[in-house]
Amino acid sequence: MTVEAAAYETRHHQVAGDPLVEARFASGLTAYVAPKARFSQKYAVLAVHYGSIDSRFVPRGRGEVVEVPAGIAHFLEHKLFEKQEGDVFTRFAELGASANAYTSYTTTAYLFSTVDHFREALSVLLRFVQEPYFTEASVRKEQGIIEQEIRMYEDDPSRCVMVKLMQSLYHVHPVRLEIGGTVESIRKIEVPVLYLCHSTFYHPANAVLAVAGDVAPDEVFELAGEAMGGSREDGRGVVRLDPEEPAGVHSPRAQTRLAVSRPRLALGIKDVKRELSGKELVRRELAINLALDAVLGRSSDTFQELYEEGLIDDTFAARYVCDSRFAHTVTGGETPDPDRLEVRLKEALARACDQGVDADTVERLRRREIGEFIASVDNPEMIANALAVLHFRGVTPLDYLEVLEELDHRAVTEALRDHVDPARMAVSVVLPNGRNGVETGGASRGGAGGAHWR
Amino acid sequence: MSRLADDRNWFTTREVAGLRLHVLTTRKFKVETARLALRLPLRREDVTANALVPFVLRRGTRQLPTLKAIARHLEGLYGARLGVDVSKIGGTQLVEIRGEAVADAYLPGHGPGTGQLEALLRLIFEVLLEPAMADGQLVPQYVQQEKEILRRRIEGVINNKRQYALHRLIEEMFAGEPFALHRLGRLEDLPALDAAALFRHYRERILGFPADLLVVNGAGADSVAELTQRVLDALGYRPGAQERHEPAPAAARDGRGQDGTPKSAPPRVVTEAQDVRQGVLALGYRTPVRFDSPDYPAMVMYNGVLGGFPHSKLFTHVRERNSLAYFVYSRLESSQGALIVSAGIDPGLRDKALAIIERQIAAMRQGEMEAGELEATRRALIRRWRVSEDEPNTLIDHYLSGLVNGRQRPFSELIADVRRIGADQIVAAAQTVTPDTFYFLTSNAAEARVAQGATVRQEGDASTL
Repeated sequence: MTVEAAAYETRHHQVAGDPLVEARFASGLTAYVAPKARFSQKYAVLAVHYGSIDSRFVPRGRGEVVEVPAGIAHFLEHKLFEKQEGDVFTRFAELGASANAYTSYTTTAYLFSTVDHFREALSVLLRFVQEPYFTEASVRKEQGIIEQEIRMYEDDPSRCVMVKLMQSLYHVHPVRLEIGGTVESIRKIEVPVLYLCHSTFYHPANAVLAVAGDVAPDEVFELAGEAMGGSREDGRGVVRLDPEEPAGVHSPRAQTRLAVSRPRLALGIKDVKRELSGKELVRRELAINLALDAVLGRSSDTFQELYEEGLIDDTFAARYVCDSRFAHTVTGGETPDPDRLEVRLKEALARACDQGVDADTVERLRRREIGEFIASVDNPEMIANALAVLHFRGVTPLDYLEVLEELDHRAVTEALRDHVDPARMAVSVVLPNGRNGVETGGASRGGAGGAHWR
Repeated sequence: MSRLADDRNWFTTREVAGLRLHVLTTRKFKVETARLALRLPLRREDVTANALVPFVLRRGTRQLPTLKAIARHLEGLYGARLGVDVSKIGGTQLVEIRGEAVADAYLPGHGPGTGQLEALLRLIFEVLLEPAMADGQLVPQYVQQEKEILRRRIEGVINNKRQYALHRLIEEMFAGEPFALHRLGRLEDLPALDAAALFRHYRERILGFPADLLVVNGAGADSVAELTQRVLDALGYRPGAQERHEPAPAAARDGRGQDGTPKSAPPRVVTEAQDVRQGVLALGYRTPVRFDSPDYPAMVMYNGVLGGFPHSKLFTHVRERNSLAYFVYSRLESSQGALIVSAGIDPGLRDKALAIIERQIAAMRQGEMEAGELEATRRALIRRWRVSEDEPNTLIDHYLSGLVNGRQRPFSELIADVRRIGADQIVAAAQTVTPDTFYFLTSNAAEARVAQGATVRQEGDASTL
């Protein structure tokens, strides 16, 4: 692809004492560079605003709505690494770079980490993502690999409990489907539909590049400009169609049996669709997460009580996850008694809505957030990935600090009261199948939800 | 010029109040990292108590007597972190108290100082030296609760099938040796560990051992030493009589591969069935080349070409060419002289996957390597080690591994080493690798189809999925 190098406009910021430079190109591409002097690692991520929930859309330049098989964004991510001349991995490996990719509900991201040959590796990244090459044979081959990836997750209790929770919370929204799809759905994927998804979503205006490490911003922007900066036919406003999702939950309870030693509970609270974006979305996310920390976090009375009663352990967590198209809280972990834990969690949430969150607690949690924000800057991968994901919400990390400044205990309490509603709660339980282990016991770490990796 | 060639980017060691203090000074990070590590002999009679103690200690200190009090204190320190860990390296069980805090200079409205690091070190030492007590011993309620949680952790090893398969392989491959023990200990030891017994163990075994304190920050070794001394003085710490522990070298094997000659004896096969959707292979090989051997860098190159990276032979042949697996890799257990290969596969395709893996091991032995594979591996290793220098906890892990293995191999030295390794040395390393024990986790349904002659350790019914 030959596109003339386009001029770009830059903006300079400071994040926790470090510089952050942002550039906007005529093509619609945005690029961020977070220079990290003294660091050896140079990390780049090229992300596309396209994830597992983008299953119904109007293809670019067409009128009709299409619906594609579950797991296709992730499948496409795998397949982009294969080209006529061979595997892109080989090219990265020759340069000494380590490449990878992941797909989440909303984002597909391609990345590499390197210490040398950064320029060459960045050029490879910028180009391979834009150049699809799919064949019948390679699609069939990938089905075997992804089938094993799906099977692996099917044996993972933390994953399993989340999948069933999403299916309980949501009636029709595609967030209820596993990011990787199912063995059956991926067998339906064929070459033409992969090209269709690529041409619809893989446009510079629907993408972001984020780089962190000891690199010069101008060098990155110059390369990005050559590869993706020139003006293109308008790629803004991809039409994504979510089905009409009822406010209530699909089913209040799901139960699965697995070869595990101990039960695991996930309690979900579904949010009604608000279509928030930018700082409004950040405000709601921060307010509800601070509230959840105040009510169920490690420094809360409830955590202390439940831990002492043996109902929870280090696997316990509570987190509000949000996007403009869906939002929910997930809380839980391994427990000897899912029923009792469910009751206790619901009581704690109800009590907190009643009594509110106090100012001292919010102040303490705010200090923690500030510290964690500063600490995250020590990790180039974390900075670049955060910049990419936040970009699709229309914000930068700086907006988090600003919103954090503004939030007080009243706003936190109000957000909690608005979110917590017994009619929008569901629980998912994984129980031991009784053959491979005893009925109680166990403690494997592992976050809920998350992304599918290449 | 590479910053890497600069060996100052490494730890310096001195003694402070009977502790060995290892400091790496760098201005790279906004976070200060400190870790207190106890290197205990891994042995059956201590393994469970060693694993239980740190979890009881972190429940509360004299000043902060509950989990909640500690958590609130950490939040006040701008989200500082405190955690405990138990791990094993070769014949050593490591008990650690870990901490991290944002350096003063980066906090809003603060100038440079030692407030955060001092608070962090103080907390780490309080956890070790001044645990919450009741009636002159560890709080019985904490001991009881943590025993129950440890029991669940041990029983829960089965929940992560990839980890479980590795654990079972090591248990079988090193049967009768300390290394076969799980880092978290044994269920059968738990009933005897009451508050009194655990307190005795804590005083005699845990406190009796010399500790290593490792710090990565920007303040400089002198200043960290002063700070450590001050914190220990304030806690009234007096170094006691300390037993020096040198872990025994791993026991000599019954001839399998110890002399470096490939043996033709077939590996011992252990098969286990569970209700799983995916089978897991965990294959154990032996080599006399260990972390402290001169040939170690060649063995690291060998492992990289075989299965350490996405360009390696195993990934290329098992995953990319034959679509048999999503994950497949090899790794070294270099303190034990073991190489482990693992893959998640369709249980029905086990023999096919195994044949491809063994073919790659044979190819390495016969020197079937391309220049591109070698160069890609060399670069990937160098990248990984240089990136490790950007991660305080990885630096500490690597340094601790050097302490345990009796030889430090700074990343800069490893990088220089692998730059020199040629194909001949890798083939020589390959010649030492011999199969020892193969472990298969399979589904109940597939169990009906497995080959005859396997040692079957079947759990539960042979029902279908």
